[in-house]
Amino acid sequence: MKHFAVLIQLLRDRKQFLEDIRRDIKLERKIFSLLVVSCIFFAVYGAIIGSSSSWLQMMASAIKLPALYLLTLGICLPTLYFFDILFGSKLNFRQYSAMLTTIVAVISVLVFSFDPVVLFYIFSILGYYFFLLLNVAVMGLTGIIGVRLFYQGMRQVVGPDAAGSRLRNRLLLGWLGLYALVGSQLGWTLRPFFGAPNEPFQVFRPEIEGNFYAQIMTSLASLLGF
Amino acid sequence: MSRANLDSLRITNQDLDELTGLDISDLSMGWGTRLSVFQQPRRLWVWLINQGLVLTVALVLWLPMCLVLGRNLATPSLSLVVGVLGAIATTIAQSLYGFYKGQQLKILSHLLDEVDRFNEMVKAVEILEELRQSDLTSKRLALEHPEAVKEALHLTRESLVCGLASDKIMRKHQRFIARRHELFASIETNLSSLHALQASELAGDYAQLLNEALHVGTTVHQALRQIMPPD
Repeated sequence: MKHFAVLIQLLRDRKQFLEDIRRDIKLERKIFSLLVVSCIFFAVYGAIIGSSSSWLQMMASAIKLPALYLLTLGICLPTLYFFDILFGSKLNFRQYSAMLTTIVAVISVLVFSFDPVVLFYIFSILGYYFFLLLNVAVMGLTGIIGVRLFYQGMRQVVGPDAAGSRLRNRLLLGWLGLYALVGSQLGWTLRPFFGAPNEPFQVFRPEIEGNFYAQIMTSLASLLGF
Repeated sequence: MSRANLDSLRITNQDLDELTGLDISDLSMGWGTRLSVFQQPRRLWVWLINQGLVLTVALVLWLPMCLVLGRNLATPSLSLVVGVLGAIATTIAQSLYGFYKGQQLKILSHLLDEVDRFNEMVKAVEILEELRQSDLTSKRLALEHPEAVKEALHLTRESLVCGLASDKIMRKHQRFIARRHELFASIETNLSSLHALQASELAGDYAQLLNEALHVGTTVHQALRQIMPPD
Protein backbone atom coordinates (compact mmCIF):
# COMPACT_ATOMS: atom_id res chain seq x y z
CA MET A 1 0.00 0.00 0.00
CA LYS A 2 1.43 3.35 -1.03
CA HIS A 3 0.19 5.49 1.85
CA PHE A 4 2.64 8.32 1.38
CA ALA A 5 1.82 8.46 -2.34
CA VAL A 6 -1.79 9.24 -1.39
CA LEU A 7 -0.60 12.09 0.83
CA ILE A 8 1.68 13.46 -1.89
CA GLN A 9 -1.25 13.30 -4.29
CA LEU A 10 -3.31 15.35 -1.82
CA LEU A 11 -0.57 17.94 -1.33
CA ARG A 12 0.42 18.25 -4.98
CA ASP A 13 -2.98 18.19 -6.64
CA ARG A 14 -5.58 19.06 -4.04
CA LYS A 15 -8.12 20.01 -6.69
CA GLN A 16 -8.00 16.56 -8.30
CA PHE A 17 -8.05 14.91 -4.88
CA LEU A 18 -11.20 16.81 -3.93
CA GLU A 19 -12.71 15.94 -7.29
CA ASP A 20 -12.06 12.25 -6.51
CA ILE A 21 -13.86 12.71 -3.18
CA ARG A 22 -16.76 14.43 -4.94
CA ARG A 23 -17.00 11.52 -7.38
CA ASP A 24 -16.52 8.94 -4.60
CA ILE A 25 -13.43 7.34 -6.18
CA LYS A 26 -11.28 4.94 -4.13
CA LEU A 27 -12.19 6.62 -0.86
CA GLU A 28 -11.60 3.66 1.49
CA ARG A 29 -7.97 3.47 0.43
CA LYS A 30 -7.54 7.24 0.67
CA ILE A 31 -9.08 7.39 4.15
CA PHE A 32 -6.93 4.57 5.49
CA SER A 33 -3.74 5.91 3.92
CA LEU A 34 -4.33 9.40 5.30
CA LEU A 35 -5.07 7.97 8.75
CA VAL A 36 -1.81 6.01 8.69
CA VAL A 37 0.38 8.93 7.61
CA SER A 38 -1.37 11.31 10.03
CA CYS A 39 -0.71 8.85 12.88
CA ILE A 40 2.97 8.63 11.93
CA PHE A 41 3.48 12.41 11.63
CA PHE A 42 1.61 13.23 14.83
CA ALA A 43 3.43 10.43 16.66
CA VAL A 44 6.81 11.89 15.64
CA TYR A 45 5.78 15.38 16.77
CA GLY A 46 4.30 13.96 19.99
CA ALA A 47 7.52 12.08 20.69
CA ILE A 48 9.57 15.25 20.18
CA ILE A 49 7.49 17.39 22.53
CA GLY A 50 7.37 14.57 25.09
CA SER A 51 11.14 14.11 24.89
CA SER A 52 11.56 17.51 26.58
CA SER A 53 10.49 15.76 29.81
CA SER A 54 11.30 12.02 29.92
CA TRP A 55 11.37 8.79 27.91
CA LEU A 56 8.05 7.67 29.32
CA GLN A 57 6.48 11.02 28.46
CA MET A 58 7.91 10.73 24.98
CA MET A 59 6.20 7.36 24.44
CA ALA A 60 2.93 8.51 25.97
CA SER A 61 2.83 11.69 23.85
CA ALA A 62 3.63 9.70 20.70
CA ILE A 63 0.35 7.84 21.23
CA LYS A 64 -1.71 10.64 22.76
CA LEU A 65 -1.11 13.32 20.13
CA PRO A 66 -2.40 11.26 17.14
CA ALA A 67 -5.26 10.11 19.38
CA LEU A 68 -6.15 13.73 20.15
CA TYR A 69 -6.65 14.61 16.48
CA LEU A 70 -8.27 11.35 15.42
CA LEU A 71 -10.69 11.19 18.36
CA THR A 72 -11.69 14.82 17.79
CA LEU A 73 -12.42 13.88 14.20
CA GLY A 74 -14.46 10.84 15.30
CA ILE A 75 -16.44 12.87 17.86
CA CYS A 76 -17.30 15.70 15.46
CA LEU A 77 -17.91 13.69 12.26
CA PRO A 78 -21.50 12.56 13.01
CA THR A 79 -22.57 16.14 13.86
CA LEU A 80 -21.32 17.45 10.53
CA TYR A 81 -22.77 14.55 8.55
CA PHE A 82 -26.27 14.52 10.03
CA PHE A 83 -26.69 18.31 10.09
CA ASP A 84 -25.49 18.60 6.52
CA ILE A 85 -27.73 15.87 5.11
CA LEU A 86 -30.64 17.35 7.03
CA PHE A 87 -30.12 20.58 5.09
CA GLY A 88 -29.84 18.98 1.66
CA SER A 89 -26.34 17.55 1.27
CA LYS A 90 -26.03 14.71 -1.26
CA LEU A 91 -22.64 13.51 0.01
CA ASN A 92 -22.38 10.17 1.78
CA PHE A 93 -20.71 9.29 5.09
CA ARG A 94 -17.61 8.00 3.33
CA GLN A 95 -17.15 11.31 1.54
CA TYR A 96 -17.44 13.23 4.80
CA SER A 97 -14.94 10.86 6.41
CA ALA A 98 -12.55 11.42 3.51
CA MET A 99 -12.92 15.19 3.79
CA LEU A 100 -12.18 15.11 7.51
CA THR A 101 -9.18 12.82 7.12
CA THR A 102 -7.77 15.28 4.57
CA ILE A 103 -7.96 18.08 7.18
CA VAL A 104 -6.20 15.90 9.77
CA ALA A 105 -3.58 14.80 7.22
CA VAL A 106 -2.85 18.39 6.18
CA ILE A 107 -2.53 19.47 9.82
CA SER A 108 -0.23 16.51 10.53
CA VAL A 109 2.06 17.44 7.64
CA LEU A 110 2.18 21.08 8.77
CA VAL A 111 2.89 20.05 12.36
CA PHE A 112 5.56 17.63 11.15
CA SER A 113 7.22 20.43 9.18
CA PHE A 114 7.73 22.29 12.47
CA ASP A 115 9.67 19.37 13.99
CA PRO A 116 13.16 20.84 13.36
CA VAL A 117 12.09 24.19 14.86
CA VAL A 118 10.70 22.54 17.99
CA LEU A 119 13.80 20.34 18.30
CA PHE A 120 15.97 23.43 18.02
CA TYR A 121 14.11 25.10 20.90
CA ILE A 122 14.31 21.94 23.02
CA PHE A 123 18.10 22.06 22.77
CA SER A 124 18.51 25.82 23.07
CA ILE A 125 15.90 26.98 25.62
CA LEU A 126 14.86 25.25 28.82
CA GLY A 127 11.87 27.44 29.76
CA TYR A 128 8.84 25.20 30.25
CA TYR A 129 6.21 27.93 29.71
CA PHE A 130 7.90 29.26 26.59
CA PHE A 131 8.08 25.73 25.16
CA LEU A 132 4.43 25.15 26.05
CA LEU A 133 3.27 28.34 24.37
CA LEU A 134 5.49 27.75 21.35
CA ASN A 135 3.81 24.39 20.78
CA VAL A 136 0.34 25.80 21.37
CA ALA A 137 1.17 28.45 18.75
CA VAL A 138 2.40 25.77 16.30
CA MET A 139 -0.71 23.65 16.82
CA GLY A 140 -2.98 26.69 16.67
CA LEU A 141 -1.43 27.98 13.45
CA THR A 142 -1.46 24.59 11.73
CA GLY A 143 -5.02 24.01 12.94
CA ILE A 144 -6.20 27.33 11.49
CA ILE A 145 -4.54 26.61 8.12
CA GLY A 146 -5.95 23.06 8.08
CA VAL A 147 -9.46 24.23 8.96
CA ARG A 148 -9.30 26.97 6.33
CA LEU A 149 -8.29 24.48 3.65
CA PHE A 150 -11.06 22.16 4.83
CA TYR A 151 -13.63 24.96 4.54
CA GLN A 152 -12.51 25.76 0.98
CA GLY A 153 -12.44 22.06 0.12
CA MET A 154 -15.95 21.47 1.45
CA ARG A 155 -17.26 24.33 -0.64
CA GLN A 156 -15.58 22.86 -3.69
CA VAL A 157 -16.86 19.34 -3.07
CA VAL A 158 -20.43 20.43 -2.32
CA GLY A 159 -20.45 22.98 -5.17
CA PRO A 160 -21.72 26.58 -5.15
CA ASP A 161 -25.13 25.69 -6.57
CA ALA A 162 -25.98 23.03 -3.99
CA ALA A 163 -29.34 23.19 -2.24
CA GLY A 164 -29.38 25.45 0.84
CA SER A 165 -25.73 26.33 0.32
CA ARG A 166 -25.88 29.61 2.30
CA LEU A 167 -27.37 27.95 5.35
CA ARG A 168 -24.97 25.03 5.05
CA ASN A 169 -22.02 27.41 4.83
CA ARG A 170 -23.06 28.92 8.13
CA LEU A 171 -23.51 25.45 9.56
CA LEU A 172 -20.05 24.51 8.41
CA LEU A 173 -18.57 27.59 10.08
CA GLY A 174 -20.42 26.71 13.28
CA TRP A 175 -19.15 23.14 13.03
CA LEU A 176 -15.57 24.37 12.67
CA GLY A 177 -16.01 26.28 15.92
CA LEU A 178 -17.32 23.12 17.55
CA TYR A 179 -14.35 21.17 16.18
CA ALA A 180 -11.93 23.67 17.75
CA LEU A 181 -13.76 23.56 21.09
CA VAL A 182 -13.91 19.75 21.21
CA GLY A 183 -10.26 19.48 20.14
CA SER A 184 -8.99 21.88 22.77
CA GLN A 185 -11.05 20.29 25.55
CA LEU A 186 -9.98 16.78 24.52
CA GLY A 187 -6.40 18.05 24.56
CA TRP A 188 -6.99 19.19 28.13
CA THR A 189 -8.45 15.78 29.05
CA LEU A 190 -5.55 13.87 27.49
CA ARG A 191 -2.83 16.09 29.04
CA PRO A 192 0.06 16.07 29.82
CA PHE A 193 1.76 16.11 26.43
CA PHE A 194 4.86 17.98 27.59
CA GLY A 195 5.36 16.85 31.20
CA ALA A 196 5.73 19.71 33.65
CA PRO A 197 9.13 20.14 35.36
CA ASN A 198 9.47 18.75 38.89
CA GLU A 199 6.42 16.55 38.45
CA PRO A 200 6.53 12.75 38.17
CA PHE A 201 5.43 11.06 34.95
CA GLN A 202 1.67 10.58 34.65
CA VAL A 203 -0.26 9.13 31.71
CA PHE A 204 -3.09 11.57 32.52
CA ARG A 205 -3.40 14.29 35.12
CA PRO A 206 -5.72 13.06 37.88
CA GLU A 207 -7.57 16.38 38.27
CA ILE A 208 -10.13 16.83 35.48
CA GLU A 209 -11.42 20.31 36.42
CA GLY A 210 -10.17 23.43 34.68
CA ASN A 211 -9.89 24.01 30.97
CA PHE A 212 -7.47 24.56 28.17
CA TYR A 213 -8.02 28.33 27.87
CA ALA A 214 -7.48 29.01 31.59
CA GLN A 215 -4.18 27.12 31.36
CA ILE A 216 -3.05 29.24 28.39
CA MET A 217 -3.78 32.41 30.36
CA THR A 218 -1.83 31.05 33.36
CA SER A 219 1.14 30.15 31.15
CA LEU A 220 1.11 33.59 29.51
CA ALA A 221 0.98 35.28 32.92
CA SER A 222 3.88 33.15 34.19
CA LEU A 223 5.95 33.88 31.09
CA LEU A 224 5.36 37.64 31.43
CA GLY A 225 6.21 37.51 35.14
CA PHE A 226 2.77 38.29 36.63
CA MET B 1 6.11 -3.23 -32.44
CA SER B 2 6.43 0.22 -30.92
CA ARG B 3 6.50 0.97 -27.21
CA ALA B 4 3.27 2.98 -27.54
CA ASN B 5 1.55 -0.09 -29.00
CA LEU B 6 2.66 -2.23 -26.09
CA ASP B 7 1.64 0.42 -23.57
CA SER B 8 -1.85 0.45 -25.02
CA LEU B 9 -2.03 -3.32 -24.50
CA ARG B 10 -1.22 -3.14 -20.80
CA ILE B 11 -4.21 -3.38 -18.45
CA THR B 12 -3.66 -0.52 -16.01
CA ASN B 13 -4.96 -0.15 -12.47
CA GLN B 14 -7.37 2.49 -13.69
CA ASP B 15 -8.72 0.05 -16.32
CA LEU B 16 -9.14 -2.56 -13.59
CA ASP B 17 -11.05 -0.14 -11.35
CA GLU B 18 -13.42 0.68 -14.19
CA LEU B 19 -13.82 -2.91 -15.38
CA THR B 20 -14.45 -4.38 -11.94
CA GLY B 21 -16.18 -1.46 -10.27
CA LEU B 22 -13.91 -2.05 -7.27
CA ASP B 23 -10.80 -0.43 -5.88
CA ILE B 24 -8.07 -2.84 -7.04
CA SER B 25 -4.57 -2.94 -5.61
CA ASP B 26 -1.83 -5.56 -5.20
CA LEU B 27 -3.37 -6.61 -1.89
CA SER B 28 -7.05 -5.94 -2.13
CA MET B 29 -10.11 -5.83 -4.34
CA GLY B 30 -12.61 -3.54 -2.70
CA TRP B 31 -12.87 -4.68 0.92
CA GLY B 32 -11.71 -8.19 0.03
CA THR B 33 -8.15 -9.47 0.32
CA ARG B 34 -6.69 -10.96 -2.85
CA LEU B 35 -6.04 -14.68 -2.51
CA SER B 36 -2.60 -14.36 -4.13
CA VAL B 37 -1.51 -12.48 -0.97
CA PHE B 38 -1.23 -15.83 0.79
CA GLN B 39 0.57 -17.49 -2.13
CA GLN B 40 3.34 -14.97 -2.80
CA PRO B 41 5.83 -14.27 0.02
CA ARG B 42 6.50 -10.69 -1.15
CA ARG B 43 2.81 -9.80 -1.08
CA LEU B 44 2.38 -11.58 2.23
CA TRP B 45 5.06 -9.36 3.76
CA VAL B 46 3.41 -6.22 2.41
CA TRP B 47 0.06 -7.46 3.77
CA LEU B 48 1.60 -8.11 7.20
CA ILE B 49 3.12 -4.62 7.25
CA ASN B 50 -0.27 -3.24 6.29
CA GLN B 51 -1.94 -5.14 9.13
CA GLY B 52 0.72 -3.74 11.45
CA LEU B 53 -0.35 -0.26 10.38
CA VAL B 54 -4.00 -1.15 10.99
CA LEU B 55 -3.02 -2.29 14.49
CA THR B 56 -1.12 0.98 15.07
CA VAL B 57 -4.12 3.11 14.09
CA ALA B 58 -6.40 0.90 16.20
CA LEU B 59 -4.05 1.22 19.20
CA VAL B 60 -3.92 5.01 18.82
CA LEU B 61 -7.72 5.11 18.94
CA TRP B 62 -8.44 2.39 21.50
CA LEU B 63 -5.72 2.92 24.08
CA PRO B 64 -6.22 6.58 25.06
CA MET B 65 -10.00 6.20 24.84
CA CYS B 66 -10.02 3.24 27.28
CA LEU B 67 -7.50 4.92 29.59
CA VAL B 68 -9.54 8.14 29.72
CA LEU B 69 -12.82 6.30 30.30
CA GLY B 70 -11.27 4.07 32.95
CA ARG B 71 -9.25 6.75 34.77
CA ASN B 72 -11.54 6.59 37.80
CA LEU B 73 -11.47 2.79 38.03
CA ALA B 74 -9.71 1.12 40.94
CA THR B 75 -7.53 -0.90 38.53
CA PRO B 76 -6.22 1.33 35.74
CA SER B 77 -4.27 -1.60 34.28
CA LEU B 78 -7.63 -3.12 33.31
CA SER B 79 -8.23 -0.14 30.95
CA LEU B 80 -4.82 -0.74 29.41
CA VAL B 81 -5.60 -4.42 28.82
CA VAL B 82 -9.04 -3.60 27.38
CA GLY B 83 -7.46 -0.96 25.09
CA VAL B 84 -4.80 -3.34 23.75
CA LEU B 85 -7.27 -6.22 23.36
CA GLY B 86 -9.74 -3.93 21.61
CA ALA B 87 -7.08 -2.84 19.12
CA ILE B 88 -6.01 -6.45 18.47
CA ALA B 89 -9.64 -7.55 18.09
CA THR B 90 -10.28 -4.71 15.60
CA THR B 91 -7.25 -5.74 13.52
CA ILE B 92 -8.24 -9.42 13.55
CA ALA B 93 -11.84 -8.57 12.64
CA GLN B 94 -10.64 -6.39 9.75
CA SER B 95 -8.37 -9.19 8.48
CA LEU B 96 -11.09 -11.83 8.76
CA TYR B 97 -13.61 -9.62 6.98
CA GLY B 98 -11.09 -9.02 4.17
CA PHE B 99 -10.47 -12.76 3.90
CA TYR B 100 -14.23 -13.52 3.88
CA LYS B 101 -14.89 -10.93 1.14
CA GLY B 102 -11.86 -12.28 -0.75
CA GLN B 103 -13.38 -15.78 -0.69
CA GLN B 104 -16.58 -14.35 -2.15
CA LEU B 105 -14.56 -12.79 -4.98
CA LYS B 106 -12.51 -15.91 -5.72
CA ILE B 107 -13.08 -15.79 -9.49
CA LEU B 108 -12.16 -12.13 -9.67
CA SER B 109 -9.02 -12.82 -7.66
CA HIS B 110 -7.94 -15.48 -10.18
CA LEU B 111 -8.71 -13.17 -13.07
CA LEU B 112 -6.62 -10.42 -11.48
CA ASP B 113 -3.72 -12.85 -11.12
CA GLU B 114 -4.07 -13.60 -14.83
CA VAL B 115 -4.03 -9.86 -15.54
CA ASP B 116 -0.81 -9.56 -13.52
CA ARG B 117 0.74 -12.37 -15.57
CA PHE B 118 -0.45 -10.75 -18.79
CA ASN B 119 1.11 -7.41 -17.80
CA GLU B 120 4.35 -9.20 -16.97
CA MET B 121 4.23 -10.80 -20.40
CA VAL B 122 3.77 -7.40 -22.07
CA LYS B 123 6.69 -6.10 -20.02
CA ALA B 124 8.86 -9.04 -21.17
CA VAL B 125 8.04 -8.35 -24.83
CA GLU B 126 8.77 -4.66 -24.25
CA ILE B 127 12.19 -5.48 -22.76
CA LEU B 128 12.97 -7.79 -25.70
CA GLU B 129 12.02 -5.02 -28.09
CA GLU B 130 14.25 -2.51 -26.28
CA LEU B 131 17.16 -4.95 -26.32
CA ARG B 132 16.65 -5.55 -30.02
CA GLN B 133 16.64 -1.81 -30.73
CA SER B 134 19.85 -1.32 -28.77
CA ASP B 135 21.58 -4.01 -30.86
CA LEU B 136 20.11 -3.78 -34.35
CA THR B 137 22.91 -5.86 -35.91
CA SER B 138 22.06 -8.93 -33.88
CA LYS B 139 19.07 -10.98 -34.94
CA ARG B 140 19.31 -13.17 -31.86
CA LEU B 141 17.04 -10.98 -29.73
CA ALA B 142 14.47 -10.19 -32.41
CA LEU B 143 11.00 -11.70 -32.25
CA GLU B 144 10.44 -13.94 -35.25
CA HIS B 145 6.78 -13.05 -35.72
CA PRO B 146 6.17 -9.74 -33.98
CA GLU B 147 2.76 -9.29 -35.57
CA ALA B 148 1.63 -12.73 -34.42
CA VAL B 149 2.83 -11.96 -30.89
CA LYS B 150 1.00 -8.67 -30.92
CA GLU B 151 -2.15 -10.37 -32.16
CA ALA B 152 -1.86 -13.03 -29.47
CA LEU B 153 -1.38 -10.40 -26.77
CA HIS B 154 -4.30 -8.44 -28.13
CA LEU B 155 -6.53 -11.54 -28.04
CA THR B 156 -5.47 -12.33 -24.48
CA ARG B 157 -6.24 -8.77 -23.46
CA GLU B 158 -9.67 -8.94 -25.05
CA SER B 159 -10.42 -12.22 -23.28
CA LEU B 160 -9.31 -10.88 -19.91
CA VAL B 161 -11.33 -7.70 -20.33
CA CYS B 162 -14.34 -9.80 -21.32
CA GLY B 163 -13.84 -12.03 -18.28
CA LEU B 164 -13.61 -9.07 -15.91
CA ALA B 165 -16.66 -7.39 -17.41
CA SER B 166 -18.65 -10.64 -17.16
CA ASP B 167 -17.59 -11.08 -13.56
CA LYS B 168 -18.79 -7.57 -12.78
CA ILE B 169 -22.17 -8.33 -14.33
CA MET B 170 -22.43 -11.59 -12.43
CA ARG B 171 -21.62 -9.86 -9.16
CA LYS B 172 -24.14 -7.14 -9.90
CA HIS B 173 -26.89 -9.71 -10.41
CA GLN B 174 -25.65 -12.16 -7.81
CA ARG B 175 -28.90 -12.30 -5.85
CA PHE B 176 -30.90 -12.74 -8.98
CA ILE B 177 -28.72 -15.60 -10.19
CA ALA B 178 -28.81 -17.23 -6.74
CA ARG B 179 -32.60 -17.40 -7.04
CA ARG B 180 -32.55 -19.09 -10.47
CA HIS B 181 -33.68 -22.54 -9.23
CA GLU B 182 -36.74 -21.05 -7.67
CA LEU B 183 -37.48 -19.15 -10.86
CA PHE B 184 -37.00 -22.23 -13.05
CA ALA B 185 -39.75 -23.98 -11.13
CA SER B 186 -42.38 -21.50 -12.27
CA ILE B 187 -41.06 -21.00 -15.79
CA GLU B 188 -44.45 -21.56 -17.52
CA THR B 189 -46.32 -19.07 -15.45
CA ASN B 190 -43.84 -16.36 -14.74
CA LEU B 191 -42.33 -14.10 -17.32
CA SER B 192 -39.41 -13.32 -15.07
CA SER B 193 -38.37 -16.97 -15.39
CA LEU B 194 -37.30 -16.18 -18.94
CA HIS B 195 -34.91 -13.61 -17.58
CA ALA B 196 -33.55 -16.24 -15.22
CA LEU B 197 -32.83 -18.44 -18.22
CA GLN B 198 -30.93 -15.57 -19.77
CA ALA B 199 -28.95 -15.17 -16.60
CA SER B 200 -28.14 -18.86 -16.68
CA GLU B 201 -27.02 -18.52 -20.28
CA LEU B 202 -24.89 -15.61 -19.23
CA ALA B 203 -23.27 -17.80 -16.64
CA GLY B 204 -22.49 -20.38 -19.36
CA ASP B 205 -21.04 -17.69 -21.59
CA TYR B 206 -19.02 -16.41 -18.72
CA ALA B 207 -17.52 -19.83 -18.07
CA GLN B 208 -16.77 -20.20 -21.78
CA LEU B 209 -15.08 -16.78 -21.81
CA LEU B 210 -12.97 -17.78 -18.87
CA ASN B 211 -11.94 -20.97 -20.63
CA GLU B 212 -11.10 -18.99 -23.72
CA ALA B 213 -9.07 -16.51 -21.68
CA LEU B 214 -7.12 -19.36 -20.13
CA HIS B 215 -6.66 -21.11 -23.46
CA VAL B 216 -5.44 -17.96 -25.25
CA GLY B 217 -3.16 -17.16 -22.32
CA THR B 218 -1.59 -20.63 -22.49
CA THR B 219 -1.18 -20.38 -26.26
CA VAL B 220 0.54 -17.01 -25.96
CA HIS B 221 2.81 -18.39 -23.28
CA GLN B 222 3.77 -21.34 -25.49
CA ALA B 223 4.28 -19.05 -28.49
CA LEU B 224 6.51 -16.80 -26.45
CA ARG B 225 8.58 -19.74 -25.24
CA GLN B 226 9.08 -20.81 -28.83
CA ILE B 227 10.22 -17.43 -30.04
CA MET B 228 12.42 -16.65 -27.03
CA PRO B 229 16.15 -17.47 -27.48
CA PRO B 230 17.10 -20.75 -25.70
CA ASP B 231 19.49 -19.05 -23.21
